[in-house]
Amino acid sequence: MSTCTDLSTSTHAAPARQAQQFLRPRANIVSNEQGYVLTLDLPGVKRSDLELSFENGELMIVGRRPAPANEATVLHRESRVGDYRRVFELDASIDATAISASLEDGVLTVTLPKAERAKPRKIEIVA
Amino acid sequence: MNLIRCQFPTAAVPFARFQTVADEMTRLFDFPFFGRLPGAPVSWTPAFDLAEDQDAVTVRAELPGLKKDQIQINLQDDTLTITGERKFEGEGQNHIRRERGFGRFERSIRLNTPIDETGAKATFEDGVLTLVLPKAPEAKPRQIAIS
Repeated sequence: MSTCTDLSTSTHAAPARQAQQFLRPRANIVSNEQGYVLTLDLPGVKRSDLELSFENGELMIVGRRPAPANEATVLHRESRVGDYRRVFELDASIDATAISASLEDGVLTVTLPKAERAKPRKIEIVA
Repeated sequence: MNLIRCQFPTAAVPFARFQTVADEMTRLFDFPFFGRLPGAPVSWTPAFDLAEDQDAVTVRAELPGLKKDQIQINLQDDTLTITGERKFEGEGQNHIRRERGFGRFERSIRLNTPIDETGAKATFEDGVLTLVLPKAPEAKPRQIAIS
């Protein structure tokens, strides 16, 4: 095997309690004044097969993909077969009710706005 | 069938392995100790699969975030070349985690089977490119009837 394969996605060590092994999608996180923007590569996942949930300060993302058809003979494979899952622990400053997400061309974008009270505020000097 | 490996090898290979075992849970605020430095560019090698049945050769590539018109597919003689570029959209932004790769990629596949070029079909859906290349009639198995 060459050194440049096998990097795109990686299976994390699944805890024993978990029956299914998931792939861990790659993510970028950008921080700005409004909050955070999370982007994840989820190639092959349709909107209907994507689940986002938020509980106890944890954002969980699960993306399911259909199993590949078996009729053909695989000559070469670099992609990983399986569903995606990743959990993010969110800071308390994030307003969970205002989280929004969109999925386009296999990329999930999650916007995590900070609660109003957590945003930086400019204080006017009155006197 | 021969798949010529990536033309842009990645530099950060040792770290990728580390990160897989490092954390199941990703904290938004952690310094990405096992990851790459937030500012360091991550090069990109999309995953390619190649399969074959008696009628066609199928190439599948995971290209999340690309648009149809950012992918070029070229078939010349027995060599299929797929090129494209995933543009980095986060320039100037404050990245606290950066795992996704960006940039140009180019993959070449040498096909050992003659292809019926006019019947080639490419689709791009949910960030996955699927290219079906029907085999030329002379490459298909033929059954000979006993007269």
